[in-house]
Amino acid sequence: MAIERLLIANRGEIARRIIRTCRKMGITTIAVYSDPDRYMPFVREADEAYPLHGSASTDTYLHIEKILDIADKARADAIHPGYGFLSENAAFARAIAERSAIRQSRGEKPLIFIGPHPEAIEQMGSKSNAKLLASRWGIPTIPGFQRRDAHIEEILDAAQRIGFPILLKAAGGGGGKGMRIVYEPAHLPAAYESAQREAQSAFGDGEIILEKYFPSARHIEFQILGDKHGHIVHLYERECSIQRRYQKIIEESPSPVLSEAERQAMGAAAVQIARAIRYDNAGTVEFIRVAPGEFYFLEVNTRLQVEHPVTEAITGLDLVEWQIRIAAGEPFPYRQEDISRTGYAVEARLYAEDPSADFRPATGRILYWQVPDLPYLRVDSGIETGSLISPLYDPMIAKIIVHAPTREMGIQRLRYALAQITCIGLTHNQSFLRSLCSDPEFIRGEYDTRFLERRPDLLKANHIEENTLIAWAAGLTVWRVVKSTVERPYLPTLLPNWRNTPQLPLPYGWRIGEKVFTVECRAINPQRFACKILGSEGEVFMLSHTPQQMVYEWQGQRLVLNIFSADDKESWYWIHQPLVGAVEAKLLPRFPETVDAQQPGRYIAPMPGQITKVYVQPGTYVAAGQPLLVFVSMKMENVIQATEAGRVEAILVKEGDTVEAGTQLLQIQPDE
Amino acid sequence: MLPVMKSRWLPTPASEENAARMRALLEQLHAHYQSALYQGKEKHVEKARREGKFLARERIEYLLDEGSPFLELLPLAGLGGKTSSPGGTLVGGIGLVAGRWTMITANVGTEKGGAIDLPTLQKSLRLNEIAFENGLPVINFVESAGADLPEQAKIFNYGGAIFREITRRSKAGLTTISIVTGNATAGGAYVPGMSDYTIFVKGQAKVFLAGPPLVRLATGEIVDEETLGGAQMHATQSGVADFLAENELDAIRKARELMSHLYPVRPAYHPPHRPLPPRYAPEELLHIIPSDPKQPFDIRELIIRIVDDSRFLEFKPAWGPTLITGWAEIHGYPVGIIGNNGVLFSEAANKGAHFIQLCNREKKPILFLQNITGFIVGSRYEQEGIIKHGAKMINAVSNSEVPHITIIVGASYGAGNYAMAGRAYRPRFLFSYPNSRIAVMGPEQLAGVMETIQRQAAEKAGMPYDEQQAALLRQHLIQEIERTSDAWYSTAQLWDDGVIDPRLTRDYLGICLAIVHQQPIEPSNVYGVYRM
Repeated sequence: MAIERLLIANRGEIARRIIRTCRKMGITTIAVYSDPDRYMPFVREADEAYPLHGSASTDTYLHIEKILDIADKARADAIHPGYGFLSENAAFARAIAERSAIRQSRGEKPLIFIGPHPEAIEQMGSKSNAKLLASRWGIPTIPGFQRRDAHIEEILDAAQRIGFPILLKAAGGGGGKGMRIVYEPAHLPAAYESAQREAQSAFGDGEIILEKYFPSARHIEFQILGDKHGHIVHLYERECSIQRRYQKIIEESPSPVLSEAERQAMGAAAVQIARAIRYDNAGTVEFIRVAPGEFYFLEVNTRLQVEHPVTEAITGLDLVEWQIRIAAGEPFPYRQEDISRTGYAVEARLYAEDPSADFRPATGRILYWQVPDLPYLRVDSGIETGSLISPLYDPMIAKIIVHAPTREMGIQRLRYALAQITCIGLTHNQSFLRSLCSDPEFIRGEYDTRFLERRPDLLKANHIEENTLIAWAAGLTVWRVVKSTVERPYLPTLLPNWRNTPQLPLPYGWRIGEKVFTVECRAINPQRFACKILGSEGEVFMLSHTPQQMVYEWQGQRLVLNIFSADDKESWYWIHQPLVGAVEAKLLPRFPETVDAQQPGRYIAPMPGQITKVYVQPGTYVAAGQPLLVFVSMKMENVIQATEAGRVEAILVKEGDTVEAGTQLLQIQPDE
Repeated sequence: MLPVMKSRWLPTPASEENAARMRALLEQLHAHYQSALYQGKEKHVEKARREGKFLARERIEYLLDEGSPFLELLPLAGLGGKTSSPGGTLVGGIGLVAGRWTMITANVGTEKGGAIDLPTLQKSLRLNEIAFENGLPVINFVESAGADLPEQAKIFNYGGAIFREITRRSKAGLTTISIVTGNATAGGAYVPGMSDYTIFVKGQAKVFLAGPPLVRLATGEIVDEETLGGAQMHATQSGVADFLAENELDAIRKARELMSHLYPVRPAYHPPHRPLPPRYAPEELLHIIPSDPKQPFDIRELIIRIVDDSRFLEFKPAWGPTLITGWAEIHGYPVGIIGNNGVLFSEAANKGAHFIQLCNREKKPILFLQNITGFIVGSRYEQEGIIKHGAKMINAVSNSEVPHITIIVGASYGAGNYAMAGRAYRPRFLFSYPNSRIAVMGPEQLAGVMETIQRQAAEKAGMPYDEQQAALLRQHLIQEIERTSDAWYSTAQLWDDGVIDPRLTRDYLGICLAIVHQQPIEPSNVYGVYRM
């Protein structure tokens, strides 16, 4: 039963990814989108698109009813959930099944969920359940102990059995709350008690799980694929040990540490678990590997993973295509031994976040996005030049995937691709990814899941040398002054800042990155400009000048500076030199904002009149724009509003008062 | 498209020497410019700095648009004066403010308290005239103690015109904005008083007809400056201030905001394409223009070094060859050019009168490049009516209704000065080269004429003629004429609007032409063009 109209219950890069495969297969795609996503490329690229009306995920991509109603309205015959959002939501899979049943009862085409059957989702949704299931099938799981209201003696016994160090963690939640690492038995009782207290206060449940703690582990996962006919294979591993706060950053295959024997053992274990739950779509079985031959089952992800392109690169299979074909009932035709892998693939995730500030997410508009055309490079992204990265959704900008015959070549190609990709307009982790790919330990494959904790040096902010910034300041200033000249209504061919006497024009003040530069710039002729910056003097020789680029020579080097305006006031730019980096440049205002320093928070009657309403009391905290009182003058009602936020200090009039022009009405202490 | 004119000039050792002499003159020019940057004694400048004030020239720079040109005018007015400094206590010129050509003037409050001496008054009147004739709004930075009391007799009567002109410009639709940055007493007070818009800087502006000392003398009232004429008082009580600025930058911002709200100008002419520079280097002008105005040179070599792409359509090249006439573009703006290549003969004068009529017909401004020792003399020429022919050219210049711009590039002697739109013929702008000379005639001729007259007088009276005494007198006379006819003397007397570096001629003209082309050029042309 062929799928012809597929609804994508997702957004961004994965929606585009699914659209690509659907186009290849001749399937009509139906996008759904939230209000902030209206102008995103996936909405345009889908064959049809329907608004979800709303912004928050709960009102949009997580809203099962809305999505299913659109599926009916658009006559979709399948729904692909992508990853995240509803992809591992059993209730969603069930709701789809129910709609499908209703449709079929009416003699209509069914509605197919592109994913495994709901029970598999449900069973694997609980980690403890999954762990139990795995151990029942003889698959190694992390040794541990969990029993509500266990006595401290039992806890100690269990800990001895598991072996130190021991990890204590709250059963009720994550995020590190209630988490303790205990290295010796003597410290256990105190640690256990404090962990309980913390878990109680954080999650309202003091239950604590004991687990064997591994100081060094590698995260290795196996891609599995099962069809509806009981055939299950694995598509080799992906190593995802480079993580920050449990979020993967680099994924590669093959893993640099896995022996062929381990690969076979872990692959077999993965297939075994899948078989146990009659798994019937694409999924991932996650393990940790703590020593050669020693690995433990973690969990099963019952969806397509973000990092699936790594597997696609080495196996040549289109996983989304197989997800769809399998969901439609087609048997997967390849046996395990038919599945070969070629070379090495690695994926790096470009995130809108600041690695030097604890990976704080960044938001903003992408002023410029460009990906080089390289035969071994695949870039999956949901954005384009002009897209807004909003705080509402995942901060991932793009996935950068490289394929190569060997790991060494792959990392070199990734380094090269990362240098070439241009993403301007907001903070992101590109330079961090570049340092990571140049790091000898990473290149040797010597890392584990705590690699970045040990290597804060890699997280340091992108450092651009002062000499480079000076060169940029010079180029940017000349670009700006020439622009003002060519754009003015008169005499575009007269030199900028032409003076007939030695009167000096104002210098330009810039804040470039964290530094302030004052640039004195004098045109010698239409191409030559003498510049003075931070005591260094030089000449800019302008080779070309366009609205977004300045090419020039400075101190013996030819420079290309891309300049992107980030506001409509022409005072905020992102400047970028290919292969070197980008930085924000703000023009220091010639006229700093002045506030009426003498009378902050003083509200005066603008004309004679009568007070008819007072909305606030002394002590009221008011926001800017909040109405304070109503004042009637010449039969006109004037609502006096707070000009800035603050606390009402005094009200000097009352309702019914008649006041003269200039009478003070009230006093507000503005916020600092 | 106009034809390209080729240069016939080649460098020679003599031209190298000439360039060296020209460079020496330019060094002198720049030394004078430097001296005109003077903005008062160090202690006054420091005091202003302490009070958080800007100096006059900084205020202008803050006011100008980013990248805007600033054509400073009359920078050397009063040069060499005993009681004034070069440029007086006023900086003035034209630049772009909010995209509009604007006359900007700034009292130098740190020099004599910005008091107005004679050169300052003359400069102020001339700047006002330029603004009026060219339809420019005016922004004044006002900080002036009023009349320079020791010089009051020289300025009091004529000075009143400043206030009259502000309001006459206002009637003509030309806005004046005054930013008061300091004391503006008596006459100074009437500048904001007459202006269309006033911006007072809080804590700095003090505006009154009479300061506290005079008030005390006159009425016995004891009052402080702030109560008498502070910015706050004028903004809230008298209404003399329209805008109260927190500080100078806030005041300048407000002036720029006002400028952007003025009724928009639609320039009457905009160059339709991006202009090309001349094909010959302006540096060569230093070789070509003789430092000694007695040496002749081909004015066309100057023209092709200042006009776009060296394109010059010469009118009547084979007739009246001592006057070169033709059309060109400078920084994209069309212009008719009249330049001297020797004394004016009858044909040359007729050609000039004819060409001026054509420019009026074609609505082209005219550039006069003066290098003229006068009209030809002698019986033959008197008999053919050189007076009559010269009169035609002077008539045409006087009654021409297109804008005129004059540059004195060499000699400017006798009636030639008049026929070539000298100061009295009111060109919109008039500039001089540092090598130029201006007088009724050259020093030698003048001394010679004087000597002849005295010799004849002595003969008539039967007195012996003292040759030694005569030689001394002659020498003294020549020196005196030379001193009072050089460019420095001329510019000090405001006979021109500035002495300029010949290499920048094209840029000066570009700015002036952009300004004059803002307004429609609509000559009345009562008759058809007379073929002379």
